Amino acid sequence: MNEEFLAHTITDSPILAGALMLDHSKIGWWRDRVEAWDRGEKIAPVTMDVAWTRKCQAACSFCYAQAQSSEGGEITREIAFQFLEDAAEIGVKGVSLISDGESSMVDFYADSIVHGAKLGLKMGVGTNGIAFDRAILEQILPHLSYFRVNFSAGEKKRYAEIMGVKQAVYDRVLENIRTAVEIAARDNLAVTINMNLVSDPKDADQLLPFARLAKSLGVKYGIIKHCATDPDGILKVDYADYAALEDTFRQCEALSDADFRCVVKWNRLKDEGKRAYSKCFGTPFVLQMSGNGLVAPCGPLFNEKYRAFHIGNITKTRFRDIFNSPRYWEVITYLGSDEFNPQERCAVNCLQHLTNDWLFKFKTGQVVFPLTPAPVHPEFL
Amino acid sequence: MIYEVKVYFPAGIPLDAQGPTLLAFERHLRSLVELDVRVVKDLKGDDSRLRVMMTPAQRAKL
Repeated sequence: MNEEFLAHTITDSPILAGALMLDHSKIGWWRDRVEAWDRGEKIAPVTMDVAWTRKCQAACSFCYAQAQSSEGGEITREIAFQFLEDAAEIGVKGVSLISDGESSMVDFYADSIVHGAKLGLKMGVGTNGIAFDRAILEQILPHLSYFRVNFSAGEKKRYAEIMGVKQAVYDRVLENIRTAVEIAARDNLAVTINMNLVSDPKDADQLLPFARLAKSLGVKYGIIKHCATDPDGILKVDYADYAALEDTFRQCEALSDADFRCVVKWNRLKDEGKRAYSKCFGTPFVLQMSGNGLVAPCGPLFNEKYRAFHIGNITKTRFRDIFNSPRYWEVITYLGSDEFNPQERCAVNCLQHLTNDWLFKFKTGQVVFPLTPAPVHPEFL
Repeated sequence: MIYEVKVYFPAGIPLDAQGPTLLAFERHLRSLVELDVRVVKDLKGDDSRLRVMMTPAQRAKL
């Protein structure tokens, strides 16, 4: 990867989309919590990425959920609501219904968003955008911080191939995005509507069509991100191949204007995704839960093979009890100990990667707390 | 060199007991030998049947 490419990745020069921070961790703005953690205190996660189910209508070629199977149960409405209540009580700030499964497939999806928001949680969703209609969007958008549609192509035929759905789905999802944009504008909602493309270098022909499509739809921004890989080789992406796409990435970003930003996650692509830090400090701040109720430090450890790091399951035990159990902090602290080096044990580019990077630099005196105002949506690190 | 130790749990051993056992095993073994030991469960989670079964059903409704 050349120096010009790397110039995009200077970590003390945040790339902002308006007031949005999209390619850095916001952990530095949680000073009290970081300082408590630094003193060795047990802290609550700032952000939780969760799913209500592992089911999905799509079969995306890049989906990390393929590597995340584990033993678990079914999350019911009652269990989901209890989870949200426990999360709020514990001190979680932001809950994203995202990844591992398509949460919009459960019948309590919209109600759970409303319930979470009423509890004081900031709620966000990442979705394939299929199972929506105007009524659902009218119900959920006022209660969301962000509404992100994974739309990893720009052209109908290629969308169907990459996402593993019929071509008709393309039109349906576009209509849902248009409706969401219209509702948000009509009611001047705070929700940030955006689109996300997971970039597999072999599908690079869809980068520019995606960026043009996102701009034409009127979403706030379009994100082009890396494709995560797993340690067992289910997902195969050679990060060296991203360097050859630099010009295309630049062309996508050049479509940005006052109303739309196209953001390439350069910080995720640099150094071929390799870690500069040797300890995993991020999971107490960003915790994940599988769509079968499994609470684990991170998605890459969801698989049953990694049962050693599984903390509990909300279909059997309330989340507040899982959080308060000795097992919770035992697992979390082990990942941050000298015994667990993520450089050697983990696949590249986990959810916690940029938070890990900042916290490691904090612990080693390389960064200080930012003095600038917090960016938008600090609850979602 | 990575030393991956696989532990097989016969049916009937609760999941809640397996996790702490695996982690305790790893911590203990690493304390005894200065090797890069990783203790994993000898069962790769696979609910692909669930996903495969669901996908056509849901797609048919689209």
